[in-house]
Amino acid sequence: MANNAIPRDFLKNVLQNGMGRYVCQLQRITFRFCKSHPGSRHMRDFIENHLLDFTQKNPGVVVYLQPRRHRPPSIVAEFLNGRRESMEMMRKEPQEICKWAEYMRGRSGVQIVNMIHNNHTETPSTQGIWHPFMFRDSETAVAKFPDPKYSAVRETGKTATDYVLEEFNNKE
Amino acid sequence: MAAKTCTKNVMNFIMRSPKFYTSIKLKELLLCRQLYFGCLVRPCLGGSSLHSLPGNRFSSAVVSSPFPSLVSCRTKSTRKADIQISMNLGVCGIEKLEDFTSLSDKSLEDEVTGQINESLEQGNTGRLYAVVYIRGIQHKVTAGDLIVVKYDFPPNVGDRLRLEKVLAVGGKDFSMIGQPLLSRNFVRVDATVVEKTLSHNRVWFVYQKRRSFKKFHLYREIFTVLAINSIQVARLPEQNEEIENQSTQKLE
Amino acid sequence: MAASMASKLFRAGARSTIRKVSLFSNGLLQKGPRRNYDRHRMRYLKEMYQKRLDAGPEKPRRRSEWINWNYDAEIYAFGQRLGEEFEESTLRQAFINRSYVEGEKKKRAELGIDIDAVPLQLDDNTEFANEGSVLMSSYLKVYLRNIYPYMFEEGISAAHDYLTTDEMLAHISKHIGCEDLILSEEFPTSSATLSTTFKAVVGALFSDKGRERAEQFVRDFVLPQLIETDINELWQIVNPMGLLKAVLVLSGKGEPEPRLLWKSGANTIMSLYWVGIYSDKDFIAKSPGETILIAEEMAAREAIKKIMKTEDSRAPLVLGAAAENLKLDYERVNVSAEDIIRKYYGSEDPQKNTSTSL
Repeated sequence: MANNAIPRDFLKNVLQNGMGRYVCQLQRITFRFCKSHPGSRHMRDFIENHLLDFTQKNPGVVVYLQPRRHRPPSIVAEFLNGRRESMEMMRKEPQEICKWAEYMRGRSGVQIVNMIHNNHTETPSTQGIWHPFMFRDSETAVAKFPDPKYSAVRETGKTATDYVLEEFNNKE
Repeated sequence: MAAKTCTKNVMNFIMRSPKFYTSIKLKELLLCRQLYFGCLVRPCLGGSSLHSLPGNRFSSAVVSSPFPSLVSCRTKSTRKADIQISMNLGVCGIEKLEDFTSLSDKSLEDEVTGQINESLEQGNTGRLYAVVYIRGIQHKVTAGDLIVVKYDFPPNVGDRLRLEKVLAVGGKDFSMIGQPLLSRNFVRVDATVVEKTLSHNRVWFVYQKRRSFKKFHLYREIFTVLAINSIQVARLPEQNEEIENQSTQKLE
Repeated sequence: MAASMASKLFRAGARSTIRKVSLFSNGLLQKGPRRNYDRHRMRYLKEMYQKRLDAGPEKPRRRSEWINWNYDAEIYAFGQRLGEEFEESTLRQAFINRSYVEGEKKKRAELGIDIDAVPLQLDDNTEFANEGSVLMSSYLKVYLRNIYPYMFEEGISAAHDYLTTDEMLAHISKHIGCEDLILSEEFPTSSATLSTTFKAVVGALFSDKGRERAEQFVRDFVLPQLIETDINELWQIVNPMGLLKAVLVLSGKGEPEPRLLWKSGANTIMSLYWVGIYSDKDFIAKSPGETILIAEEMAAREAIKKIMKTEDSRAPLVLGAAAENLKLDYERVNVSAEDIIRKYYGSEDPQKNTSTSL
């Protein structure tokens, strides 16, 4: 797809998270599965063996289990910014489900789009942005041009021609 | 002794002249010089908590003072150095074009160190910025910034980090540039891991015409978002302190 | 909403058609392009699309109406998420809006239950909200005065007002997860209710854990909202030069003298003037502008910023771990710009020189 057709946005921080204290942005997560269908086998395995670890590690996340008859397993994450994301868990091993649950915990809930910049700052310049008058001599403000003082050829150091000539003369 | 030479930091100071002027002649001059410090890793600095720095005006009793004085004087030596550097930068009134040369005047070094220390003590440094090095990429950051670290980055969400590879630190009036790094004993950049996420689907497409060769892959990068909490600078060791410390170390 | 759902339905139908086509094309009978086109399916889908549009948007429903909802678990997770140990009863009370209590009473009356015989035992969050509001308001002012000790009192109160508007507090309240927990008759929840609930949460924390903890909560959630804004823009100075003059003269300096420093492109639409302001031949501030008047005004604003020590290079707010060592002077009161103007202009009509709305 053309790059300009993909939605793009700047890097965002929900509610300036981490500036004061860090708040996990995952509000609640729902594991949806079927109690009998073989498609939900791994999800059932995950719920039996790994789910309690997840809940104990993240007391701030509300975990719901939602059995649905003969429907594919999925996880639904709801974030503090009001967004909701669901992900199919069909044919995913328990370890993989652990990984995706952990992924949802790490998300801030902001929609994933192409990022314009990899950084965000409110103060781009501490020492002030350069402008053409920054280091200019203030005498030029009152000088009348053309001024012989400022029209004079600037004295430069030794040029390449001078150097070559000198070398040549030395040889002779 | 070998360890001591390893920790030797040679530093570059670029000091901006203060924004207040006492003459109508307006010169925003840049002072650039090289200062050579001996050992920056000092036991006297290591012990103190960096959150209670001398620059932190809240660590001592808060003084409710009247209006600030608008005049701040610039020292003679600063002006001298300003002129010398303005020549080097090629501004108007130039007499000779020269390369940047280190100022060999020891007293100037003390002057600059003293001025930086003074502004730190009075809490006049204002907002500080730093250039930090993370996984091969340099980021210019100030407090309140967000940066993205790409690829797999071990810290987890909610972790507080101290970014230790600091290449440069500066405020409105000064910049300190490490060669290549600044000592961790006097710069502290704190960050919090805010988010670990994946990028949007990126396309890797390779196509060769007339060869029936085509590759189409979708992949997602791992992003770690860091929020910069604070940048702090401790007091610099001054010349006489250095000599004293060296002598004490020699005695040991 | 309805259109997007309808388009989803449409797309799902189209997808199933394509799947059928592919099934046929994989078979031996059909090779190459498909000859029969399912015209009826298209008509059916169009009909369904129109029906979805006619049905209108989905009715907004409370989160608690869904099957995966457990209020007890949500309340427990709320405190854990924010890293605060609330007492459950106080936290529950903080989310009860007055309208909810009244609604419950009404329901009972309709059912014919005597309220005196079976008391409702529900307290609303008004008391907590009042406590929280007072605490938050005072702490914000104290913090800002100590962080910006030279800023005029008007600027401090402008920043305080910006942080305590209903919109700002509702924004914070939503993003810490209050919205779904609020017990209120109104739906969707208004920003006033959301902000009251946030204040009540602060009040609940104050009554549970004491002043220090509640202040830390305010510092961690309300004050970071200032990071995105320039504090100088919150306070609108009407006549900066008048204020500057008063300040300079009262602090024993000469009157401000604007001087043109540079100009460029004077007769073009890209004209640029740099004006500097001096007092007793001391440089104070300078600023660019499209005309000399604009540049002069901007330079005066710049000078006031310098006096207040809130230039663009000002120190960032002290937040998070660094703020734990903060020693705030609770008695501190900053200098008021209005006082200065009254003192300087004295008997003169302040309207003439500078606006009273400073």
